[in-house]
Amino acid sequence: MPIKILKIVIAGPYGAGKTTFVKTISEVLPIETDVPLTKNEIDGKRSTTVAFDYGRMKIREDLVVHLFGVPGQERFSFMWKIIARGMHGYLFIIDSSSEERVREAMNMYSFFRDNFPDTPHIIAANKQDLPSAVDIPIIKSILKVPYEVKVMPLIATNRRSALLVLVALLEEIRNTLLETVKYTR
Amino acid sequence: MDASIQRIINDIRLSTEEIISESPDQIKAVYVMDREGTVIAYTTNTVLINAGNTFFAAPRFISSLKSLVSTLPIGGVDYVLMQGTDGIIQLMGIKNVGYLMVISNSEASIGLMRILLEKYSDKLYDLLGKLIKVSEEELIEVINVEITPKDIEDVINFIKSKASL
Repeated sequence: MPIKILKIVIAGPYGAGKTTFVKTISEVLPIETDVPLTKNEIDGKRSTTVAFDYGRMKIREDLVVHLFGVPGQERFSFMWKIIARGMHGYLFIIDSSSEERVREAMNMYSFFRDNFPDTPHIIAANKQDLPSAVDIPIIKSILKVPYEVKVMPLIATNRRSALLVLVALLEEIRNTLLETVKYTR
Repeated sequence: MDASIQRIINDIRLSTEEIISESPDQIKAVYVMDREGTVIAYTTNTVLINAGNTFFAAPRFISSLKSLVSTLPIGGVDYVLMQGTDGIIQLMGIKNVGYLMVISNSEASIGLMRILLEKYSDKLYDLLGKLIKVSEEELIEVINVEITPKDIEDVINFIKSKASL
């Protein structure tokens, strides 16, 4: 039976809360981490272990979700494209505790927008529980977020908040697929 | 990061350091980029330049150059020399695998830089070729059976059932 893989990438600058986000959702969802990746899961010919943040969640016998965290440091920008190749959608997490931290995400967000202009995504503004947190409209303005892209508040340590963001991303992916199906008919 | 990829990137970075060491009083920075202009490795000469953020400017520079030359009868981007008020950029296409760019500080160094670009392009061609091959072979590529809206719906329902959202 061919296995379908839904590939989701968790992006964002260094220290934005990507690892915390994955750790939090792993407390609720059956996500396996640090398991070897099988390149050809269908024919089982070979397996390849990769060393970046990775999580795997089995939904059905023939449907698996892969979560990939990309390293936030700019020196790994070459890897961003490789890791993101073939993704169905990405969550872009930013540290929204100050305008300065939001600005730090500008370059990486532009990179993803430039390289993956049609990939569904949402922006998760982490640390919205802090008193200094930047308002969502200001974040949209700083990052020049397109009108149709959602920016959601996130507290990466809070399970409900993290799951709501993940579900919102999945809804974006589903809506994009529905649009594609509509136009290809 | 996969060890073999990291090793190749380190070798590329060492080459950029070698190029700077060829003329440390004239070279401000050296960048090696892939076909789209994404910086793979770079070295800046901290005596002559603050480490500017060309990581993200480089892909736009390359894509602008490609658009520009596509309207001119000169083929692909092979060699570019651009003089600014504070320095000179010399960029060389490394066959079909990437680009090598040197930023220097004076007109007097243009000839020397061109020689250095030529000197290192074969070595970088080998390294970039290896990098492309390894990254394609070693990293998972998730392009298989098509995901449908119903699949996504199942994932959403699965998450909601586990998390009682």
